[in-house]
Amino acid sequence: MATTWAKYFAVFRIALKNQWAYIGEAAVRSIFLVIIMYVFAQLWSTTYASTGHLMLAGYDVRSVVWYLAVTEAIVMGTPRLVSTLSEEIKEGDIAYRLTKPVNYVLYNYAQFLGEATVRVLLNLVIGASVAIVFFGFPSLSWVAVGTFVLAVLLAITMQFTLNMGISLLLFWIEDGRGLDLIASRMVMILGGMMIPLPLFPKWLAEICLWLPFQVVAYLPANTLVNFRPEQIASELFRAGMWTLLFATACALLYRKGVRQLHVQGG
Amino acid sequence: MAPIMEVHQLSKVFRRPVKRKLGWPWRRAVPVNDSDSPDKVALHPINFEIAAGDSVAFIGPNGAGKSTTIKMLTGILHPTSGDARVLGMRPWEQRVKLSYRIGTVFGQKSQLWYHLPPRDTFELMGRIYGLSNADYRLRRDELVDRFSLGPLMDTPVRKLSLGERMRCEIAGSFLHRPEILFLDEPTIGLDVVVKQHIRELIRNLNRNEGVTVFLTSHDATDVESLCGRVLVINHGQLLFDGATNQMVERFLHFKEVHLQVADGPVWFAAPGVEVQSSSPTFTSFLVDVTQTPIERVLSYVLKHHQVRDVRIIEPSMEEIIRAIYTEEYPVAQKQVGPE
Repeated sequence: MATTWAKYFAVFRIALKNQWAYIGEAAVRSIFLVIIMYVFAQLWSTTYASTGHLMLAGYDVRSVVWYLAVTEAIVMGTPRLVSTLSEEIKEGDIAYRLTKPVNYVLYNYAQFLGEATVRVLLNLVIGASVAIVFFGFPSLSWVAVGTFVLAVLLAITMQFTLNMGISLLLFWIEDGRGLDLIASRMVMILGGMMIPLPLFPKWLAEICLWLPFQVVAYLPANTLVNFRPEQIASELFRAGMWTLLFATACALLYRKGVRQLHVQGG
Repeated sequence: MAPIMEVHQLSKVFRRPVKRKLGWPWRRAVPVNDSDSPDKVALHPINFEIAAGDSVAFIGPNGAGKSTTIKMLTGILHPTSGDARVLGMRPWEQRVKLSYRIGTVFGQKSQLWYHLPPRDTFELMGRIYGLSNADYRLRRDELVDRFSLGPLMDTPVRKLSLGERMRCEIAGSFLHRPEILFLDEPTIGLDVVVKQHIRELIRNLNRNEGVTVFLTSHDATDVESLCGRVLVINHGQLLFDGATNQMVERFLHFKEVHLQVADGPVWFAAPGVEVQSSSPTFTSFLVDVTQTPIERVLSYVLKHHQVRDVRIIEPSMEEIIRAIYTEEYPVAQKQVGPE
């Protein structure tokens, strides 16, 4: 068992190192984040000024900007898995991975986690820097920060299971780009990436809070800027269940897909 | 000693999925498969055995069934019928257990991490195959020494030449001491000098460590210089299984005889002997050795003419392989079985 986890930790470590090897390139890509942050900071400042309110649904301007820094950092920081794996699965290259004693899904998860760790961290530093320049630090507790780290891990894992599930469908469908686009838009809109869910109409916000997409964006961001000890346990539990459900779906899809590969060659 | 690889009546048929026409909801869907598009037979039942330490070339044109066979032997693909044992294991039932004892190098697919030095990939391979730290370091240093990888180990892979990368690939696939090495086009894209070096490394692995080599290649020199035995496959059928030097007799039993004589031209009529060119000092024949032995031609010429020089040219491995791929060989020679 120790050997099994050691191999995936080794994959995580090498992916982290690989991503760090061209951190400069990743930093240049993050310039786009600075631009987005600046634009949204101005947009929300104007919005709040025009309403005359200091707080909207429990969020002030500073909270919203920090919220956006987190959601953008995570969504922009997670690797584009579908485009990478689609080539492997459709061309049959996955077959060559199977000659090694590693589980394909776990290998890709370890690699995804390693890459995302560097990219999300870099984006968080950049996004936070912009937010600090405009609005200063949010009020934080160590408990909130610790829980935030856990929520980010769940967010990255959830994003992986969404992407992996779509990629594994390529054992049966021709092109996964449409599904990938839909999933990313779901996270963007229903997951609260662009606008905090509490600012949605109440009925819509309630629905979105029960969907899996909020695990990727809303959950970690809200944990940092609007930490509520009385609700965090249930929020994390719900997120954990969604992640487990999607992870199980991935495992089943992989098993069925590989059986298809074993019988039909792909 | 039991063979390291046994294949018995192994075959693979890819079933075409039944396409159904979407009719009116109250009607049952009907199959619309064209009866002229049958299931695809990728591999007809084949049989062969490979002993430990053998170096075997597995050749055939694109689409012949090579990849299908290798995928079944490495456990990726399940056969339709028949059986195979690799290291005593049925590959498709014990794929993970088997993977610890085999190595794979695919010439067109890299396992090295592009932005990192080979050292990092080697460490990863060590972990994946469960090597202890001490064993990994010992094995790594041994391979670095043998493959002369010292200066390369800390250079990012993207900065290495193709030949250097291939050396690292082969060394990396050998970290866990596999008993069988599957090589798919290991010299593709390399220059002649590097190819020779890679062949030398593979030959040494086979001779010094007793690794069984199972090689697929379209390079005739790879086949000739590395493998004592060849399996030839085409259209999913095993056409030849025997020693490399017997391929000539089996597929292209023609030899060219070039004669320089003082008193030419040379005339010689016999079944299967064709004059290619003739002049007072030079004559060349194309001889079908199954109809007229070379000795008969030579003994006649030596008896009747003043011979200054004789050259007997056998078809090159490349010509043999080309003839197999284009099926330009006599039907009677399509036999299988070791000599």
